[in-house]
Formats: sequence, C-alpha cells, structure tokens
Amino acid sequence: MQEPEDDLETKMRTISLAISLISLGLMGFGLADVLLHGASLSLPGMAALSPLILKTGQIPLGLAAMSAGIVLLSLLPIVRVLLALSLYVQSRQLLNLLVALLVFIELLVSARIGT
Amino acid sequence: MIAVALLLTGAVAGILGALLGLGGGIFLVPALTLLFGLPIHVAIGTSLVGVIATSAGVAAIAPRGRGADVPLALRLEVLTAAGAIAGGLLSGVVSAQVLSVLFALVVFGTAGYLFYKARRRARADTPERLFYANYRLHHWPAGMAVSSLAGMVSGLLGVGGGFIKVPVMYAIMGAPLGVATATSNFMVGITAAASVFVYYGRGDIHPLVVIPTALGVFGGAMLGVYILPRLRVAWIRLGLIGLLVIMGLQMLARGLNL
Repeated sequence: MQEPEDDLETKMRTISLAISLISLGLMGFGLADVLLHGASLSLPGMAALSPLILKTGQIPLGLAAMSAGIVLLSLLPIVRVLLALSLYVQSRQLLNLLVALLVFIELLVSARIGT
Repeated sequence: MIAVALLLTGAVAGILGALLGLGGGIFLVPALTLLFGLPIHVAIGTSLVGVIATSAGVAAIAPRGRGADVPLALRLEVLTAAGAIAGGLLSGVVSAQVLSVLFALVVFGTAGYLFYKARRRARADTPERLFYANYRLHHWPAGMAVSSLAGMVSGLLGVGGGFIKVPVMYAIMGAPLGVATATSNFMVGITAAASVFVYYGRGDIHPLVVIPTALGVFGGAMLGVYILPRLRVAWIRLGLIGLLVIMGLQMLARGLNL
C-alpha cells in the first residue's frame, strides 16, 4: 500500500500534467485560430477575456480558447492545494490538514483583497 | 518571428527557473520590458503566468522521490502568504527606496551565508547529493521568520521570492538542495496564483504575449528537470550565489537612486 505522501506526489504529477496539457492545448488551438483569421502579431495585442464574458459565448472561438487556457493554467496551483487538503482529510493527518486549510483560506483572502 | 523570440525567452526562463527553484519571473520581467519594450504591468502579468507554467512543468515530470516536500511547502506558505498579503497592504505606506535597500541587505546576507556553507562543504570528504530521503529539518522558527519576510518582500516588490525560499530551506533548515528547489517551485506557483487574477481583471494579461512565453517556459522547465540530476550541486549553488549578488546590486542601486 502507498504512503499518503507517495500517493500525493503521484496524484500531483498526474493532475499537473493533465491540466497543463489541456490548458496549453487550448492556448495553442486558440493562438492558431486567431492567427489563421488574420490577427495582427503586434505586441502586446488584445487583452484576455474576463471569465464572466467567456460564459456568454458571443466571442471569437480563438480568443475564448486562449483565455480559457490561461485561466485553467492559473487555477492549477489552487487545485494542487485542494488536492493536498483532500488527501490529508482521507489520511487523517490533522496538522497537515490544518496547514493546507490555512493556505487555501489565505489564497481566497488574497484573491478577495486583489479584486 | 516575435512569437519565436518570446518562446525562446520563455524557454530560457523555464530552464533557469527549474534549476534554481525560482519560477523564472526574475528573468522574464526584465527581458519582456527591455528586449520587447512591453509595459511593466503586462510584463509582470505575463511573468506570473510564466511562474505558474514553470511550477506546473516541474511538477508534471518530476521523477518519484524528486518532487516537492509538500508538507514543508505548505507550512512555510502559511507565513509566506500572510507576509505577501501584509506586504501588499503595506506597499502604499513604506517608501520603495527603503524597501529596496532592506531587500538588498537580505539578499546579500543570504548570498554570504551560502558562500560560507559552500566553503565549509568544500573541505568535506564526501560530495554533496541533490536528493536524499529522511533528511531532518531544523531551525523552523528562523526558517518561518525569513519565509514570512520573503512573502512580505513578494507583496511589497512584486517578485516571486523563490531566490529567498531556496536558501532558507537549503542553508537554514537543512533540506537537500534538490528538494529545496522542487519545493520552492511548488511554493512560487501558489504565490503567483494569488496575484495573477488581479492582473487578469485589470486587462494586463495579453494572450499574444502570454501564450508563446508560457509554452516556452513549460518546455524549458521540463528540460530543466531533466538536466538537474546531471549537474553538480556546486554548479547550481554557484549559479544561485551569482544570481543573488546580481539581484542585490540591482536592488541596492534602485534603493540608492544610482
């Protein structure tokens, strides 16, 4: 049977690889779509779309894919903290659980202050 | 052509970030502003996504037993994140010059301590290993205090703080250098995630800049993980000391208006 730390390391690697590949795939697809539709490559170019606008569906596919990829990649560290949290719950490691919970709360607070 | 240049810049940042546990932001921001003429906020926003990409790339392919020490990372991150929040709130009160000089002193002190450890290590008979199991961490109060300072510096000065976290874990707390770099990469991803959405909401994330850079960083970080075990600890440590001295001089010059 795997130790909780080994299990966490394996799951972190799998989740990191999966989310990274999906988000980079979305970004690459979006970039290709935008360039095929004749977008200018002058920098810095257009800004990414707000996640709220992404829901409406009234936007170019390429830009939506690029923005979704960036948002997904940006969420990865938070997903990794949540993964650690869930594993510490399962293995009843109370101190580690408390620490992970504190970090997660701090992330939420900092995001709230930032916005 | 610009996209290829951004991809290569990102790859260099990713390799160095993975090797030194830095995330790569230290290289990306100056490169994007000086080489590509981008506004500083766009450069920082791009760099934050790049730091997350480095963190993801390292985590995605780190061999078994060579990943981050997650409990250590989370324990240090409690105070680092709190320091970053406090630093962000304090940033409007303390002058940038005072902060820069303080920052430079911390960096020089860390470089000096690493150099001292390197000289002591050079006299030892056995070569130092990058990774080993069952290491014992010590000096927790000092490690956590300096980590909270690193977080505060991050919030105040807008840098990731990995160049403080690695020496803290390696030189003060006694983690193997390979573990310290992998753990720092995990931590800088979390720190960057805390602020990237602020830049996203402000409209400072530009896909045509971010995407080639992030693709390069991700690939570079994976390459960095691949070559890390093939490098000697002494070379990595020398790179870290050199980087700290350069950073310290830059911050000192900024603080003294030179």
